[in-house]
Amino acid sequence: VSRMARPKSCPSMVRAPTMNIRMFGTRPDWTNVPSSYVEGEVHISEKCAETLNKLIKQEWIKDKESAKLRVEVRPGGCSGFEYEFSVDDSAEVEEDDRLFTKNGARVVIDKESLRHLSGSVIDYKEEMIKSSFTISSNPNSVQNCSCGTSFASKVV
Amino acid sequence: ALSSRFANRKAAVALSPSAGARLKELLAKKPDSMGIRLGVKRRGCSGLSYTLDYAREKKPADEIVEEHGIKIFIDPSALMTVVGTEMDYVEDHLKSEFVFVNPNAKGSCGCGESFNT
Repeated sequence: VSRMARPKSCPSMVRAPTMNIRMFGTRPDWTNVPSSYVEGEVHISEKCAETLNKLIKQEWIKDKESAKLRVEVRPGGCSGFEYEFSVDDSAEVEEDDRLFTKNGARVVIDKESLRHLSGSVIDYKEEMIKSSFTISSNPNSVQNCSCGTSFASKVV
Repeated sequence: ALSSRFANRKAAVALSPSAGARLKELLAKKPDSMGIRLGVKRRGCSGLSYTLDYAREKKPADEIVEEHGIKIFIDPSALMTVVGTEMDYVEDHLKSEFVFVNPNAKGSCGCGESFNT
């Protein structure tokens, strides 16, 4: 019942992640999430794979064999959650991680984040104002920030 | 006195050296554009967001600012909200973007793309 009552948009959410936690109820126990969520798939766009393959060749990445794009979802931003992108070049994949590949490019997502990303497209957008990795068409997102880095999630 | 006041008038927007360098690079690839067009659009979590495009023509009410040899065409609808803004360009390994430091903004979005005045 409390899930239904969650407001779709609320201006007071702005920059108040602690408030979101109160509004959304207590933080869920990740160990009890239905397996259908954890087994979610994400899609990697051609552009994302291409950019990632180029990026991995850059000098600053030490372990090119293990380098992959890590996508995380964290509380924050104006809409409750935000996406974070980083390069992970640790040799081992954590038990909690799921690895996705496309044209040799690798993306790793931990299972907590995957709950919010299931069904999304990991993309790379090149615009005059900004070029960056992005998440496009996230079916779990109910409300987006204009820049697309922050969103409100249907998944509780 | 009036003319000197206009002569001392600060440019409506300023470009940081990195923004200037990046714009030069972008414009070199688009020889048909006269400069860049800066505008604002009603969207985003904080009410307004910046838009950036290549300028292909001068519109009658545009404010034109020239900095680092780059012409910036400012939409008349945007002028009041962007006046005094400094445009900067930041780049890291994973992304590159123009950011705006706007003294008129009372609040802005975490990503800096949306703001209100």
